Amino acid sequence: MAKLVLENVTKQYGVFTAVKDFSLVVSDGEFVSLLGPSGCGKTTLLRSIAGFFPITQGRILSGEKVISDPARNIYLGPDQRNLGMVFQSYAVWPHMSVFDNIAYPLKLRKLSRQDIDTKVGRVLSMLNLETQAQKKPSELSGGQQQRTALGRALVMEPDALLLDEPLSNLDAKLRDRMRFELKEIQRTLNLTIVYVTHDQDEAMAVSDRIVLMNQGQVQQVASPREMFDFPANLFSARFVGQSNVVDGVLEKIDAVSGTAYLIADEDTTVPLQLSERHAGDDTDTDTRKGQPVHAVIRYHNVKIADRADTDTIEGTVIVGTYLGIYTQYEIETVLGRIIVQTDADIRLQEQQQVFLKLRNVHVFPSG
Amino acid sequence: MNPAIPRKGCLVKHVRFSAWISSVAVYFALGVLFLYPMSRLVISAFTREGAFTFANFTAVFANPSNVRSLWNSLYTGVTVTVIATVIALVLSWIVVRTNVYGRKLFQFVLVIPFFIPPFIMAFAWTRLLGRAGFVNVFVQQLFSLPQPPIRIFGFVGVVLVSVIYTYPYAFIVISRAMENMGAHLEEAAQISGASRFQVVRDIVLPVLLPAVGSAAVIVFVTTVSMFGIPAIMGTPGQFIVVTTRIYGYVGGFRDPFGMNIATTLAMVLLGFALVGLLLQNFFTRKENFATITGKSGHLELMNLRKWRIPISVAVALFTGAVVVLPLFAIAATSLIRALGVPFTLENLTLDHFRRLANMSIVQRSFNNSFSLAVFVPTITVIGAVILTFLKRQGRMPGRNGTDYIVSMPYAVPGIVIGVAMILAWIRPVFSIRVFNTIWILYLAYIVRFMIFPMRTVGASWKQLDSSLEEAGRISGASELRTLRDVSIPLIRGGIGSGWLLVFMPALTELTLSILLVSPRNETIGVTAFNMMQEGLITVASAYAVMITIVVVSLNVVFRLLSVRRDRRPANAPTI
Ligand SMILES: Nc1ncnc2c1ncn2[C@@H]1O[C@H](COP(=O)(O)OP(=O)(O)O)[C@@H](O)[C@H]1O
Ligand SMILES: [Mg+2]
Repeated sequence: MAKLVLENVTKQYGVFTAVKDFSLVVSDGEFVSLLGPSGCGKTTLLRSIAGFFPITQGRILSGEKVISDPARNIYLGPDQRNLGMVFQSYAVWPHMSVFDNIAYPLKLRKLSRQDIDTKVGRVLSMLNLETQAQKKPSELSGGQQQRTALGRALVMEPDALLLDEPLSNLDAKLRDRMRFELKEIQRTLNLTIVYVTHDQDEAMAVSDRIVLMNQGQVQQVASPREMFDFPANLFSARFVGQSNVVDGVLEKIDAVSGTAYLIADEDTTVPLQLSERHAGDDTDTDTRKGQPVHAVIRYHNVKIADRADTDTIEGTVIVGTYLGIYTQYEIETVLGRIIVQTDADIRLQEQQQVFLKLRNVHVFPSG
Repeated sequence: MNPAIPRKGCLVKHVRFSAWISSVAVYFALGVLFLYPMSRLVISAFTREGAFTFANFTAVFANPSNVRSLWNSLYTGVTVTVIATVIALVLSWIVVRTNVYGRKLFQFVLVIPFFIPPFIMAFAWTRLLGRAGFVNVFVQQLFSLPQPPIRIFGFVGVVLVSVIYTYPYAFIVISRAMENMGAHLEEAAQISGASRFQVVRDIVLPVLLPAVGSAAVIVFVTTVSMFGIPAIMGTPGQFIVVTTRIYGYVGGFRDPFGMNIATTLAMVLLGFALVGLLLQNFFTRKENFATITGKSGHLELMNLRKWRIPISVAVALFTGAVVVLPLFAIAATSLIRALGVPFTLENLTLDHFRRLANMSIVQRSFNNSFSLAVFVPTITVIGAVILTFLKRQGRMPGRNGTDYIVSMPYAVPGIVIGVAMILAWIRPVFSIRVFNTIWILYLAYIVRFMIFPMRTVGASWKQLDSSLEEAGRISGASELRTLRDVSIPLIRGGIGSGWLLVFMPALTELTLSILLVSPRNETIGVTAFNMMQEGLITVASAYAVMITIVVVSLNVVFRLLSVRRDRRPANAPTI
């Protein structure tokens, strides 16, 4: 396994820029996810690393080896890069058995019959496919085809493993289990993985770091926890986790209590308790006065207070939905409808008056 | 508890009765149309004067001419299959997977020979490469040769035109498979370390094998079943194949057992076709060749770089040679005052078209063929809807048998059906006389083409979720009402394409018609074929031009109509 380095990678299709000035270092043994909405350029980036086409600008290194550098006319084909890849469609060859699918990369590398048998056998047992070895792909379930594709990518001991939405065609239960297994295999073999997904839960569950992308550009690079707790911008806050987004103008920020006051309409200001980071690094409150902002409040960061206070706002319960571990309420306030997730044991009636505390709020300048 | 129960009992009885009636009607119709003629064929091959015998088979194989015709058919079939399949593979790959110029245009233009009736295609090639053909005359004059240099009649000519007629079908099948294959299977091999050559050898060819195999089988069966092309390109060079040999026996070899010999030859030909069908089954069976699971829309086009222009030019030249050149040859012939005069403006004339328009036989054959081409698809579509409806209801006994009966003629060469029809109807049956009338053509066409609407109607009905019909029933519509208001509107795509699939070949059918035609009941195909045989070259050319214009413009019109229809939202959810 080796690290992967991407320096200012740009990929254009004609005049359309699918990936723009993308830089990232994936360390040896690290699990990095590319996360973003459909069409943001994740696949393009992954396929640039795999080498299915030359990039337009920038440089890609696998370990110490430069594998793409248009400036110096360097471009190794995918067969020269020693990278493993699992496709969204699995791309298991329909005319070969499971065994032959997995053995193919080794045959191309001219390993002896014996070595092939041992190595394939090891992969088959790791993926619980021993009993399926002689079957054709059409006789396999989706999950087994997926494992076959994974086995084929692993057997060649690649320098890094690239996965393009590998779990998106599986049903929910299987998806959860495969996430878990994938993570375990990665730890055991110390794999370097670049993993593409549009599913934030998936990215959260498996990654050491997440690269959040939008329209071909990096929005934030952070560990899952960091990205959830401290989104770098409005896009990040919206894409990761469930949030209320409220627009307004800042009246003032009280740095001591870490409270921002938002002008909701003519004669109402609303207190928002800022997340640590926003409160802490914001000493210059004057310049932000009168600034239009988006305030982002996670559903679970809205608390129900017992009574009115200086840091509460008033609201009316519209509808509640019981969801097992928590209950979700929609509450009408001066800020509009706010969604709240509470412990399941808090029971509110429809039309009931409540007081809300808005905590850990992130504010991002708008306009 | 439920007052409706007693009523329900009598309803069930009523339904059983109507199901029984309709089953009897269906089986009677299928029996008369399909089973009766085919059984006459078998009987004729295995009997002489009412007694069971293998004498016909020994007689067939004792006559070297018959054996040679069988051998010629096989030999031609294999040659055409190999050449047409290779051409289709290469063209598919270029058009689907590379950045050749004009991909979309080629995708359409390359299949044009498929729309042109094969006997017209053959005739057009005689106008290019025949003894007085343009190419021959040109080369002869250029080098002042004593003889025309190119001899087209015989094996070479049959193969040439058969390849041109059959490769489009293989092209359609193979290019569709290539599109479905997507690029992921190849990319997975590349990233495993396979070179371009290894990708083609280990992945592309094996994955395409089922498509290529079944396309090849269809090409083979089509070639050995074809009549028009060997009759025009082979017979003048004494190159006789099974179909033309059968035609000879039916048409007049003086042999007391001529008809028995013809049916026996037909049985052997049927054997070729059945072997083909078995092979076809083998290639399309899932157990033998896994189908492609990981379907992906994305296709990376290979950049041909410095080969882009040469390859584009080569494909364009090929298209020109197989599409434009022959059509140009008949168009030119149809406009020239007389054969052999130089092409100058004053030698051009529309006289041949005028003469054609005044020939009563031409007018008659247009009427006959258009009636056949409108009514036969209509009847077969209605039949297919009824059969499928009864089958879907699940109350008709032995309903799966109907499928087998109806799909039988799919494997049966047209000339064999023609022979069977003669045997079945040559004498009045229960004093119903259809032979020597136009009705024999209707019967034969229905038998021949029934399979197309059965396939398309069946396929689109299968996609229809039965809950749609159940919703109609629960809303209070009767079964027939549901059929009219729900099912038929929703399967109109299958109905329309089934109708068209019959309309086109019915309009210019030759093989069946040539055996069954009678005076005053001529079809377009027969009239044109006879003109060509009689050496009325300029008039025949004018006729061929007219037919081609009609066929091509109808194709364009229907294409435009169906494009508009396809813009409507799909009937069934597609996954
Ligand atoms: N071969 C191509 N030619 C032109 N545009 C492309 C091509 N492949 C992808 N794109 C465009 O690039 C953008 C990024 O695509 P992709 O990388 O597949 O996104 P993602 O995987 O994040 O959904 C999309 O807008 C897509 O339409
Ligand atoms: Mg993608």
